[in-house]
Amino acid sequence: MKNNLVILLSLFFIAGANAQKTIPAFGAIDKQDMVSKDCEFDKGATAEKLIDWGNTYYKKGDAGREAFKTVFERRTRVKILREQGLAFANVKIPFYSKEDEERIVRLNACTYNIDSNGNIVTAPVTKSSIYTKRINKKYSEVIIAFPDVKIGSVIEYQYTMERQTMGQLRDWFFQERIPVKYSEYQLVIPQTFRFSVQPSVIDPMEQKQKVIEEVLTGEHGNVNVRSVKTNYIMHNLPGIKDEPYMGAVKDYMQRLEFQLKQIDYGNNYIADLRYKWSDIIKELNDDEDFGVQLETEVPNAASFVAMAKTVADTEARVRYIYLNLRKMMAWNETEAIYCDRNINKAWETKEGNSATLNLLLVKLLNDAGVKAAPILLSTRDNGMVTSYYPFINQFNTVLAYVTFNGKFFVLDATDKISDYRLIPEKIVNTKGFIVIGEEGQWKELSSGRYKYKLMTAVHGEVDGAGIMKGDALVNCSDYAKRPRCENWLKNKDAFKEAYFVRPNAALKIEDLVVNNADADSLPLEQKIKFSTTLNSSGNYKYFTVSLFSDLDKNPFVADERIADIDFGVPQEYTMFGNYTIPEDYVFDVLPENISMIMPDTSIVFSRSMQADENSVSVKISVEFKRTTYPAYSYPEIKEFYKKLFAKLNEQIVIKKKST
Amino acid sequence: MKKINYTLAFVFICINAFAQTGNYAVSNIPEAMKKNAYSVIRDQRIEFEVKSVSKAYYKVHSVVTVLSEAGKEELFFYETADQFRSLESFGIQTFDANGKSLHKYSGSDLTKQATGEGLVPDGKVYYINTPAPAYPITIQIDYEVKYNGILDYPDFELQLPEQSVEHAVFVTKVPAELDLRYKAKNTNLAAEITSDDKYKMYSWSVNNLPALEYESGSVSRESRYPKILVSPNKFELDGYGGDMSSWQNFGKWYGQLSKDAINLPADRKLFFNEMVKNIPDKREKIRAIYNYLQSNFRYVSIQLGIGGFKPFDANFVDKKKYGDCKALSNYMQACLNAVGLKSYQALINASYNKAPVDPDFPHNSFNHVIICVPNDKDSVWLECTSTTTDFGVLGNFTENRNALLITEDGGKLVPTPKSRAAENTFGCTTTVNLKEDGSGTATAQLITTGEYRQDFLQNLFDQKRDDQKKFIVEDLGFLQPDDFLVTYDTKQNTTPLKLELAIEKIPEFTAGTKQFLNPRIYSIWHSALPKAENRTQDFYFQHPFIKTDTTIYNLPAGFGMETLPKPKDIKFEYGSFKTTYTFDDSKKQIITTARLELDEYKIPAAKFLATKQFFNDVLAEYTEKIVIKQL
Repeated sequence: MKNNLVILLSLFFIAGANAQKTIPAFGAIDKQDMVSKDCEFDKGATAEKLIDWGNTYYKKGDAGREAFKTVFERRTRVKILREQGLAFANVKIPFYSKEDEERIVRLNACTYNIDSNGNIVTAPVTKSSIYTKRINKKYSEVIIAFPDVKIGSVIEYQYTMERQTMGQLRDWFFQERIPVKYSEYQLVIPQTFRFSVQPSVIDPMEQKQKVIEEVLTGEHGNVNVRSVKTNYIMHNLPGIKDEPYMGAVKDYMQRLEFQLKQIDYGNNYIADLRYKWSDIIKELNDDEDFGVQLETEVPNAASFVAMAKTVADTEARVRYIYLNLRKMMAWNETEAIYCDRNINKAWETKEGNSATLNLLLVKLLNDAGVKAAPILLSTRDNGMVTSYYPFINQFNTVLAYVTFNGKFFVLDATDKISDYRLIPEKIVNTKGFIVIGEEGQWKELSSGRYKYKLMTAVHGEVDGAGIMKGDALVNCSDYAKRPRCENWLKNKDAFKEAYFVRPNAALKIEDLVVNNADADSLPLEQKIKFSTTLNSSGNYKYFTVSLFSDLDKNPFVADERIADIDFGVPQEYTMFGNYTIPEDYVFDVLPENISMIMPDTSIVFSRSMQADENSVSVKISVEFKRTTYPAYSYPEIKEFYKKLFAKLNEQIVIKKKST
Repeated sequence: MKKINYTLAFVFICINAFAQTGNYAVSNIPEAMKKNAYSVIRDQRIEFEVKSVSKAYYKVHSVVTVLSEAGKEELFFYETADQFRSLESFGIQTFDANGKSLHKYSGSDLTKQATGEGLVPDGKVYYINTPAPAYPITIQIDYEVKYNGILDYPDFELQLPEQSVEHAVFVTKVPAELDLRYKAKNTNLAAEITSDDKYKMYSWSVNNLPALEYESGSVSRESRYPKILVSPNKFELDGYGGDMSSWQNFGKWYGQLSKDAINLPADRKLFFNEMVKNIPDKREKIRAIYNYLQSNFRYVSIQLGIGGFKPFDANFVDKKKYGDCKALSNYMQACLNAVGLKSYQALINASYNKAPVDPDFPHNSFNHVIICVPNDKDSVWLECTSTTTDFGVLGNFTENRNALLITEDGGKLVPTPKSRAAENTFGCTTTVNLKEDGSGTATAQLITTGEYRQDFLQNLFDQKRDDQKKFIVEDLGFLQPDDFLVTYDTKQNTTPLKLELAIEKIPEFTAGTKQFLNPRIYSIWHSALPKAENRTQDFYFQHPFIKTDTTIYNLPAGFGMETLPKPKDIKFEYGSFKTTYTFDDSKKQIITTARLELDEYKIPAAKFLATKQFFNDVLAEYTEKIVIKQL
């Protein structure tokens, strides 16, 4: 016992000494950090994490629990740089409190300031400023309100969390919303446990590994074990901010994820816990809230299924079932991969989460003799998935995958608007895992031939007083339909305001008729009557020809960009125009007939105008063929967009004939 | 005729109660009730029963048909609970468009969550978002809330915007010796009052109330729609008994909650005395202490104590250097007290579009605390939660309201000052050097005060470069620069700001060798006002203001001026807009000036059409172009 303790102590000493080399101890504040005014590698940041240090190690489990538990230690030091950064002094540490699965057993926190003599003043957080708050049945959080925090302060906290699990390690995010100067994650794992590590890392990551002897102390004595100690270290990671068309923020945060793959019980007995996709399939098939649902009968849907069966053509039958089901079901706005109720109950109550509604859809399709299977997906805002690691938590929703005669469809019963032939927008350009057969099957889901398609046709007549009266047709097809259609069905006044009145302040919308909101395969047709007084200057009057085009604001104005650009689907804008002008006016120099093209031909802009004495016809088209661009091509995109929007902004100038 | 209808209706209800269908069919809603409506209250009965000074029950039975998704918020049930308030019973039933029952929900379907963005547990919230398979859908909600300590009696809100009412009743029952007070707002609805030997009963009943349109930019929601305000005479919360029948008595109650909170330790009292001992002027003394508070304390949202009324004491705030509005105001008062300056905490309803509280009807609708230091005729008002607000300036958050001063003699309702246009100024002088190809450089010098200065302090200065760019382009409306430099001096009151911009394309567009230039390289005003026809509500701007601009275009060599816009001089009742455009041939300079002034931030509904026309004219001015041409 005593002996062991000595080893333990010396081990800790060594570990401490090692840590000393890289990071200063708790409370040992560098004066330079106190006086610094900005983050060196992310100028203008509101706060900066100077140190973020995590450590996971094993302890013998408590009586009545598993054989081991894990301990997670964390130490974080934050410099407050700006007013908005003060919020980072209200720290919240969430933990899974159900059945004491996680407990915070030690917590230490201080604020550091510098006084007028240049001395560092420490204000410890007292008990009265630490609160534990129960959030809901599963989670609680510890809240620390740091005292005496102002711009320039450094705060630091460390805590120890005991976790009643030996197989689940916490993910480690090196990168966050605010810049991180130094981030280290240390793992000390008995060789019994073997984890696979999934690094999502681009910048250099330092990795150190060695085997150590350690002693795990528990209620019933000690165990000597050999453990592997690994340290992962990253430096100077800028904060991640929201950027237009970036997909999921999480995808840009460099991080580590872990999964238990083997337990080595000794004597050459190794339990292989490594998940294979086939294991996931098996588990899902046996899961009460997944596969078992597909075995459940939905007796009250029998007549519905019988009706569907009378539709002879398979595709027509799929459409029949899909359209009718989505019409009657209410989605509770929750994406999930497991049902929140039995599907036969959902048929009665007509509601459920995405898993419930789509497994019900799969079931009804199957019952009606159509081959359908669930497909696991991660929505675009949830982040990318990898087929390399069989890891079910990366998915956040399930849809229905239907295939026949070499065609396939991905259907989402929570979507009441989209054409059934479209890959749903929320998951387009991702890949999904079809729960089929023993191994399952991966499927890339691009938009295929469907695009975000917007067509405008404007006819305008200018009278002698400079008033243009006209009518226009705006057609939104494929991916352009759903967002508009949704808003139209929700609130017609707000729709008119958002798409027609607000973007065209000088325009008077006299009439608006919208057709095909209910017809799933037809474009949303918007017919407008409008009038406007032309802008003028002296003898000149002028008007824009990109009315109602949706292309009114350049999204790419920022100088910097971290994220890749992901449009999801290709886009196509076509604008036709036909304008007549009064007799006593002539066209001044017309905007040139040109086309502009990205070097890789992925974006094409073209404009042609043809004028006779008193009328001009215009055709403008902009085609975005590519859906994704890596971040490094941003300068090029930005430059192209700037030129594109300048061109779209060009106007037709007319001039009064000199008499 | 009427009588017969009633009987018929009764029979109808009976039948349907048995048949479990039909009664709430959408087809039963009169057409007039559907007009402009997102939802219709079909049948509502709200009962509020006061048992004693601290005990009460609130019981709701409400059937609402949601006609389209726009009325979806009616499907969201949300009820907070804390030590004084508990949810006793709950049930929801939904019906489809034909009135056929869809689904039932009970208490076990509610999600329970701890509330408060603050740092301590404030209470919990129960909620459920009832899903709708299709619209219309009808939702019947029944629930009961029990009060164990009550300060605010529930008001009766007749309708939401875009909501019509077929039938609704509000009944209150109160022990006769307690009684209650009420006042109808935005309605003439009268109470029916009955009594027995123990209780007094008030009831309000409405039938066939058409929907009201939502008008954006109006007074805050709680003051906008028809409602019956209800307020207690005597009340008790957490054992603290009080009297709301007068502002004075309510102020007394509030005062006793914080009477022990002004407890600054002796050494800190000394500290503040040292701080101000060489400052002779009273106002300057206050300023010194306020500056200290601004640079050393931070605001956190903590709703401790009873229902968010009792502040952290001054000693606590002094040690922690943080607090919420109550605690920071209390602390400020303690500091002023320490140096012998009398001040008052003042309760107020904060937000730019709140109506002042009704002086004739004592009722608690306050959500914020500020400080008032009496100073002859020129009281100093202090907002204690902001680190940037100018000394003695309230800003649009709390100005032009009625504040309840908590004095030794109880509450005293006084008006807060109203800011004038001259206190919110934005001045910009820009020199643009234009090149032949339309590119160029520009230098803009800006001087701002009041709300504009606050905006710069919070959103421009010291921000990330890309955020600054976004602010310059999107908020100030400048042309998009390819490169820029921001320099500023926050030490001066007007925080002079210099923007140096390199712009690839300065003209709005070109045609041949002609360039069409905007009157200036940013828009002095860029938001169109909401719909003006048939407006019934007053419109609230954020604040009154004066904006002035001078822009000098230096033309490229070889260019001459072809057309200048005509000068404007537009006036309306609450403001004016004046522009000039001149060309100096010898210097090859075009100089434009503009002055836009708005004197009142609150525009009466009847004057809104003219106001909108005025701002449309201002917007139209920016579309007029200066035409220059290569000679």
